[in-house]
Amino acid sequence: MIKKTVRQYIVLILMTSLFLTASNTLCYALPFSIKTKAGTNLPSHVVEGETAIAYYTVANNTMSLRKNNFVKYLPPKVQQVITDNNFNDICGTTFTLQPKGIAGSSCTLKLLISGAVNGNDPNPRHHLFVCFPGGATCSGTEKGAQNTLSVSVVSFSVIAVGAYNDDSNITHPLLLLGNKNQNDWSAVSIPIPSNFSSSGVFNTTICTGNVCIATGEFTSGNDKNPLLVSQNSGINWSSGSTTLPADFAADGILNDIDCSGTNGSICATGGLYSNGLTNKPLILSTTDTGITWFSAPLTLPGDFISEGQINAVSCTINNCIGVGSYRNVTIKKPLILMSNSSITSWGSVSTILPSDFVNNAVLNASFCQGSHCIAVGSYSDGLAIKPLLYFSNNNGSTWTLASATLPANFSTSGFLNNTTCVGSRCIAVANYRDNHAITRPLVMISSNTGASWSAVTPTLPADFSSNGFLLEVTCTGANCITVGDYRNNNKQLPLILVSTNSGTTWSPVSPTFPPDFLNSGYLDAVICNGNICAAAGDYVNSQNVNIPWMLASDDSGTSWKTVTSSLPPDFVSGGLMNSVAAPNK
Amino acid sequence: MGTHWRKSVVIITWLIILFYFLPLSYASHSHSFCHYKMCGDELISYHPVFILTGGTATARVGQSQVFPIIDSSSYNFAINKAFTTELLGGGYAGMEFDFHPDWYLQTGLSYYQVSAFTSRGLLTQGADPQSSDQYLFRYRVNSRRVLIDERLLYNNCHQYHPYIAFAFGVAFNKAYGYQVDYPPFLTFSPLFSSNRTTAFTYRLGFGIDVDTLANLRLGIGYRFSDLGKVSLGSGHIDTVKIGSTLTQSHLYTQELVAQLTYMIT
Repeated sequence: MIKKTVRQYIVLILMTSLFLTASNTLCYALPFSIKTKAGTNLPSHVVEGETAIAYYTVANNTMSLRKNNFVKYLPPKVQQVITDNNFNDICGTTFTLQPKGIAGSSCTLKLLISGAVNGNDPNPRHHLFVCFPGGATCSGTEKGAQNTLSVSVVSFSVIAVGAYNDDSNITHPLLLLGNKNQNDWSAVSIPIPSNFSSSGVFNTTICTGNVCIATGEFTSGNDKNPLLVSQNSGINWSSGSTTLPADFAADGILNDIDCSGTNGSICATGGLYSNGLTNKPLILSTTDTGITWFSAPLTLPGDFISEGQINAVSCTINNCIGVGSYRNVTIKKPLILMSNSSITSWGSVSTILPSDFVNNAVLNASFCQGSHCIAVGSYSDGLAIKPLLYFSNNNGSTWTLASATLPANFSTSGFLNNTTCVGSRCIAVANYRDNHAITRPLVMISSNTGASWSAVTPTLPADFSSNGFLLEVTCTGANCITVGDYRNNNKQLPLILVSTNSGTTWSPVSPTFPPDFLNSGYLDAVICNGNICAAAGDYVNSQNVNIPWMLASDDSGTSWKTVTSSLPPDFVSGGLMNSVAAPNK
Repeated sequence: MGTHWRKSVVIITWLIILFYFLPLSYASHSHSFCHYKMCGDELISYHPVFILTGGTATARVGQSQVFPIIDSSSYNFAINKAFTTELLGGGYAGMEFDFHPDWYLQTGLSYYQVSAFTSRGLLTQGADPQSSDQYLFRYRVNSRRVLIDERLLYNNCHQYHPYIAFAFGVAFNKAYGYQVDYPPFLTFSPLFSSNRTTAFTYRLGFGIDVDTLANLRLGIGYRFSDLGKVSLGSGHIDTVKIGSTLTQSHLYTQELVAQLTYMIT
């Protein structure tokens, strides 16, 4: 008796297995197939007080038309949204699906997440279920971590971007989020382009309102491609899709980005690309805060021959400018491109060169506010490399060479890497070589919105010996902070200078060091939101590995502490941070 | 029908062997095997009898069913056709009328219960074959009966009494513990609550009783029973109430029993 029962069971189970393996797509054959929408990621975090979006594809798995299907259950804190700017097949409150295999057999389910979601909730009614109109024939989400919605609430106040290497020495773009109290940073997963092979890096990041964007490049095969990601509310990052210039052949790199002010959805990111013969300036623009990008036509200077690139972009509500350099045969000249108000086209703006200009002019940084813009860089007069400064009072339509008084001990190698203004007070920073061949930090200030500049001598750390560089400057009111690095006798140390009088005088500040700091540390970026500041760079640890270095200050930069950061699981070495940004700044 | 049947047969065979030798040993003290009856006498006597019964009941539990379409999906419950065997026990109290030299009539009331049967099957549910799935299900059934129980024994002046039996009464059936192996985060499947059913039941059987020690008989028998209707309770798919449930119109059992009769003379 029992043996016969067991035999029958075995047959049943075998028949069931055969039947199930014959169902080609699912482990269980269900009326709907519900999976995360291809090309999107489910959010894993949502910012406290904000929302995140998830997209699923709901597909009809039956061979008949199914009318009036609906979403019966959702996790708490999750609602269905029936409008979307990106997809035109959003599932409605009730929706009809064509039979499997026919166009219209699926729709995109859009969900709005406003709190934590427990992916392991034991109550099935706290999970996504889509049903036939009677509410009895239903499907849940397909199995797999990639389809399971599990969201924790975080509060983040700052992001930092850069790169790192894994154990195959492949460089990956790195994105870190700092929590609200800035006592913890964590690596966030970012979408990887399907053709990524190596050398991925984020060069720049910006937040507009509570949406943040990061751009850079990656290598696919032999070519560098632009890399664009944005965070469309919450902390899920998606790849931006972009058109590229018609003559794009290879090597797209993006160096800088700016958006048209808080809550502006217009952004432009600039760099360069190769058309197979030479490098040309590359500018990609977005009007939907980073979801889709386009390459607007650029009208280059009439004497453009080669090696055009954009190093910095600045935008206001009026328009955007991009600054960099290009070559006219043997002469390297400054490049300024100005966009129209809708950033659908860019034209070159001519500039008058300094009277002692010989060659190698380049603009590295720009800043615009209202109708005022400044652009800074360097040029060579045949003997020395000197700072180059321009200003414009009409949104970049015309530019005037600014007058500048250099430091008394200036000798050569005067560069300007970054600039910012608060009202009419502007600061530009980088480095120069003095008459003892010591490279010192260079700080220049203007009180008339960049028309004239003078150098100030910042008080340096007592152990400063040489190789002082400044990479970024930021101001909040009259409080300014600039960061870089310098050399004492045997170490390269982070340099932090703080001013409370809009840059007239500066004092050095030393941060607390990580316990495994070996002999080198660099700071590349700094940002403040009120009196909360964050700085990012990297240091070499006791294992001789470059580790991303995050510093936090809650007193406008007067004191800094090292903040631990969790890194991606495949981090091995080569950590560096290029840029920081803060949402809702 | 396997092991349970075999076990029953073995037990009963030993009992038969025991019955044969016990009376023989007893009989050596007596000239006749007729203990309670004088051959040829016309006396009618009656006395109370109590019978204790133990044995097995074998049944095919559950009935394949196809529900009417619910929310565009079909639900096809295919019951595993195998027989299952459970233990059976019961008691009888009545009177035995020795109304004829050759016949005894026992009439009385009995109570029987079976330990729980398990019904198993495979549910195929889905909107169409493309999207259908199969899940194993099972539920349990137990039954208690109160019967008016009649037995007619033949007395041929030996201590062996072949008999036929007929009983009818009320069965209290309970179907409960419905379980189905479906993935709870992927779909919903009907779930049924427990249910008690009261049904008319009858039983036909035959066997043989053997006189042994004073006032005691041992017997074996075979019976066929209809326990009546068994049905699970109301069904729900998630929160949606459905009109159909799993029902078996007749639960038939075949019983093999061993019985101990005690008479008060």
